Amino acid sequence: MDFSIDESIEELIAQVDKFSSKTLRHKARLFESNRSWDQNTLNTFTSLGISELNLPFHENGPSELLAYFIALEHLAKGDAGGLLYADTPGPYSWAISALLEHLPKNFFGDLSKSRFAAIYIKDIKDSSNKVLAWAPGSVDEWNGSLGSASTLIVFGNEYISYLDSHHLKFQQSALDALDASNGVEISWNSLLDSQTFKIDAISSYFIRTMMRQWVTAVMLGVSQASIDYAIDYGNERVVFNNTVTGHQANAFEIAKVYTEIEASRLAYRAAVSMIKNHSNSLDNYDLSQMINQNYIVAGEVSLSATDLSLQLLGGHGYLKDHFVEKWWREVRTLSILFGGLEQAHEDAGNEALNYHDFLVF
Amino acid sequence: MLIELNKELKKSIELLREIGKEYLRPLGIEADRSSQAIPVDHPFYNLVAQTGFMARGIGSTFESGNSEKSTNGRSNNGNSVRNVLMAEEGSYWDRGTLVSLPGPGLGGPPVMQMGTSQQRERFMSIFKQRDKPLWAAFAMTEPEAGSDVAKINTRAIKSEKGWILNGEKMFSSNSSRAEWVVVFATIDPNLGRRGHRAFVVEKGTPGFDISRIEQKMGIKAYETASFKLADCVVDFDNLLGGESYYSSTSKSGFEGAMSTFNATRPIVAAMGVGIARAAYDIAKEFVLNEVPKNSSLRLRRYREKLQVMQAKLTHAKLLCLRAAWLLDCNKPNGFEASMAKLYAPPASLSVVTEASNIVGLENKDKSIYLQKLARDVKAIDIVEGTQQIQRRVVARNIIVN
Ligand SMILES: Cc1cc2nc3c(=O)[nH]c(=O)nc-3n(C[C@H](O)[C@H](O)[C@H](O)COP(=O)(O)OP(=O)(O)OC[C@H]3O[C@@H](n4cnc5c(N)ncnc54)[C@H](O)[C@@H]3O)c2cc1C
Repeated sequence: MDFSIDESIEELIAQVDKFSSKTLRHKARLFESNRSWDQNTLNTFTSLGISELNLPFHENGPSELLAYFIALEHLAKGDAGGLLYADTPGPYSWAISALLEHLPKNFFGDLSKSRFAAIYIKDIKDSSNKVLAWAPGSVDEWNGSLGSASTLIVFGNEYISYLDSHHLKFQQSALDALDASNGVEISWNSLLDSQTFKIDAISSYFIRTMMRQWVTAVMLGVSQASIDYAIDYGNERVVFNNTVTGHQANAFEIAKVYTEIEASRLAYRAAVSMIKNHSNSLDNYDLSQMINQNYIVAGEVSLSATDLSLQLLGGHGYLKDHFVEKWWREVRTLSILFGGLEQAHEDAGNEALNYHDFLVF
Repeated sequence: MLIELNKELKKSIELLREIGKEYLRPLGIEADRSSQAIPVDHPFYNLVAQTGFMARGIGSTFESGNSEKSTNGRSNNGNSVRNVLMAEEGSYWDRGTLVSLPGPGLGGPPVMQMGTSQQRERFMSIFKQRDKPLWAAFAMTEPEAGSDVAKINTRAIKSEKGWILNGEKMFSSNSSRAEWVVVFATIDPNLGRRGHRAFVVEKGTPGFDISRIEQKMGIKAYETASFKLADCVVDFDNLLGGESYYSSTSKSGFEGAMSTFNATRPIVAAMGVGIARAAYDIAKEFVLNEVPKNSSLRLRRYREKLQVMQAKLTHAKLLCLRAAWLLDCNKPNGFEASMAKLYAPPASLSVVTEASNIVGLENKDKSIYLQKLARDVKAIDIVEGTQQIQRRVVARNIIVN
């Protein structure tokens, strides 16, 4: 047993933390009004290797999986939206890398050169106009007018599809957070026209489980940033002759949430080490159950951590003057993206009872 | 115990429902989308003014609270209960638009409770006209003093010309468009709460300047503003209650503000319940109409969730109604008002969160609206005393040592 973290990862954390708190946070706020990222910030993403993190099992990807997740966690302290923008397809990278050997050769083309996103929808065969998904990247980018070839990979129950942008319709996202992902809402008429492949039920289940690992890391990063910010604020703000954090009632709440974040972080990092050891195993139910449970707990902890943080700033927390309101919105959005907490509850519950019919839902 | 609404009240709620559907909700959604408060000259406000709403308020501001007319302990015409029910219904449609409506708003209760009869007439009668919409506001909070109101630092110094006010207020809802604002200031910070006085500062008074409109996370339909008072001189007659109020009854502006809270906390708490009921209805409709009928496990889980959500709303609403009923009976209700304000906001937020989880992203429009409701309902846990402040009050009442 070894809970220690390599020195190289500690160095990465320090570097990423600095970038997150000094630059990314502020640039993401600017994005809300300017609707664009400045090139310097994007360059920093690249220099930190974030855009190289697309495929963690890729030869040129980071050798250390834990480093990838820890980087995600700490970048999320800066901006979860920006992270989604830089690290496409982020949440799906597991699934993609794990599935490579199950798919036709060159299915994904030369991913390292094209900009692409992946999304998850329940019923891929539902080809009505209603089908709608969300992905990072601007409308222009998706339409190809910014010159980047954009591709959408759609995962669904037992199917996987590969769509060129001309199959799709785009609209600026109306989601409540993750602005700086420059997200678009994507809809399409006929998915089955495009290249669609049947995959087995276990693979399909694996996809939706694995992406939760990504969201877990990001939510915990956001929560940690939020509670740290509230503590700093509360250490200064005086109410009733004591600092906000000096009131035991608040200190106890902070201690509870802080510990819950820590426990949640340990659990998801433990899952990372399990992934490392069984990398491409699709039928490892211990692992998927753990990932699902971690996601549920992290989601609930994050909702309460960001809520406590906002509350500790009182009315000031409700204003755009501080980041806590943004983190509060972010967690609420992250916890409904990609199937959301409800579906994870269903999956984890079924797994707990060894009820494997859930694979086809 | 009898929980039943009379015919007249049911009719008022019906009417508000119609207005809510047609105006409150669409205007609230538009304000949220554009991050712009509803403009002062919006035709809807003229319509509201023409109906005489400004004088009646959502209940009846003119006769609300500890009405002196209450002699038999059961009078006050049930106005507080009425206010709670109307606030709940109005917020179901849109809490932001509701609070934006013209009328005395939060400025009304302190004038009615602390003001002399001349002051009531002078400041409240303007709302009896129906020609154009008018607003009033309440300003206690300062950048450095919110929950801990004893710390307010806006100074009031008596001079030959009148009272000179200096300081800065923050988070004053509707003050940017108000005809007058009730401003709490201190004659001597060393006196703590005993030094507090309430003044009516009228629009256009030199030295009274709106310094910024706050950028809020939600409830965007109304403006919340910061303003500065720089050597702002107000008439002696604008000291609410006159000097005798503070000397003869050994009262302070602080006590006046606190009794205002006893009237407003159940109302604000009920607003949370209204917002959460809207979320509950969306989730219920989604479960009934959009979850495939063959998803039996999912349906069973949602059924359980929905009934817990409904129970929370009922409990919260009852706490609000009981606190309001006590006030209508002219009985002390500070403890009960705080219980309502302690319980309802987090319960309401949890209902909205559950609704949002149930709908997920499966229905985009519903999902986006639920996110708005979540942002809106969060404010309820902050305004009129945070949850922590209510815990303080409730604990002090039950733990005697
Ligand atoms: C949308 C909106 C509208 C508003 N409208 C108005 C208005 O019209 N007029 C007006 O005057 N004000 C208004 N307010 C201000 C509101 O009343 C204050 O924000 C509120 O009282 C909290 O004060 P604060 O923001 O300074 O927080 P603080 O008082 O600084 O509180 C910070 C934190 O400390 C906690 N805390 C405080 N005391 C204790 C304690 N003893 N023990 C433990 N924890 C404690 C608080 O709960 C909070 O979590 C509005 C606020 C908002 C957000």
